[in-house]
Amino acid sequence: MVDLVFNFNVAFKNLDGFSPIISQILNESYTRHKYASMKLELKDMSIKPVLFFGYDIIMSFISAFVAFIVSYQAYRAHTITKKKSFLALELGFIFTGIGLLADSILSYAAVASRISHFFGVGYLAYFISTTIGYALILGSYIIDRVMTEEAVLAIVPIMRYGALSESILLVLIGAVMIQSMINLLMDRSLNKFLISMAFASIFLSHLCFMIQALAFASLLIIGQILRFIGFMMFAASIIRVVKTG
Amino acid sequence: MKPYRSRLKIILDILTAINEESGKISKILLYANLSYDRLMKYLKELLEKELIKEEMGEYKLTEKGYKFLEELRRAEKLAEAFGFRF
Repeated sequence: MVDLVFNFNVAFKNLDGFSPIISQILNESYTRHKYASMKLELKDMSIKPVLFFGYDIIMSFISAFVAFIVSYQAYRAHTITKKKSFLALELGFIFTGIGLLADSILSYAAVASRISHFFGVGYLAYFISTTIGYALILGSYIIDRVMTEEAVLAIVPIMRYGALSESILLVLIGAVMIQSMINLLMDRSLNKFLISMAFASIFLSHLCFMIQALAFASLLIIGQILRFIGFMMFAASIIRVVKTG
Repeated sequence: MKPYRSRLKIILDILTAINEESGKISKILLYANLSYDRLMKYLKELLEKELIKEEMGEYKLTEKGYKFLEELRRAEKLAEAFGFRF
């Protein structure tokens, strides 16, 4: 797993069959994973992403599992209450989970088969699915707010960042995070705190992914860990919810 | 201004009152904080859906009602955690 020496440059320069936008996303995927093969250039780094590679696949897989559990709880809540906000939450976490699962499985496939193209396809699937997922989670808050009289600000647009795919995810999850923070400030509880911190952690992870694509490779590790912590907080909150019955 | 209480929340309060307090009308009225007429309307609906049963002038949860109450509590906790209104 550690001795990945794919020729990514060759693999990603030959993207004739893809549209420019998909090529750009695939190239961002290349940026995310290229450090796995850059052993010689990482001597000056205290933590080497090359040593972390592999664990991120496991953490993505576990995070996907947690996302599906949250989705299942939202499905149960939707079945009993018929609230559309739960339906949007359920679908949002399904798509988020599918994205993480696709990324982890295809990354593993790339490692196992030594076909580097799987990284690009995996990241593309992750990006599309996670974008839909976050949009749906944000939608669940909008549905919840629009359908009631007490209108609390549901969308806070944040549009400052440059990197294409991660910045889109960052905007979506950022708006969700702000909404969850507002909820926490209005009425504090441990469950709300866990959910807010989970979204905050995932938000920071996307910030790390975005920055690492531009400059600091070590942030890839921090981003992966932050996202994992975020999903573990979802797990802790769901355990508390399940114990309620 | 009184906070808005949804229909689901009222049903949850009624079922909780029946489960945790006694099933007497006076206790349910107190716990659920409803007028007599409104409470009777809800109780009629819950009886029709077989979530509660009436035995010797007292209301009790059925097996279906107990499961419904558990699911409703979980849904309330999930809504609370994500900051949704319930």
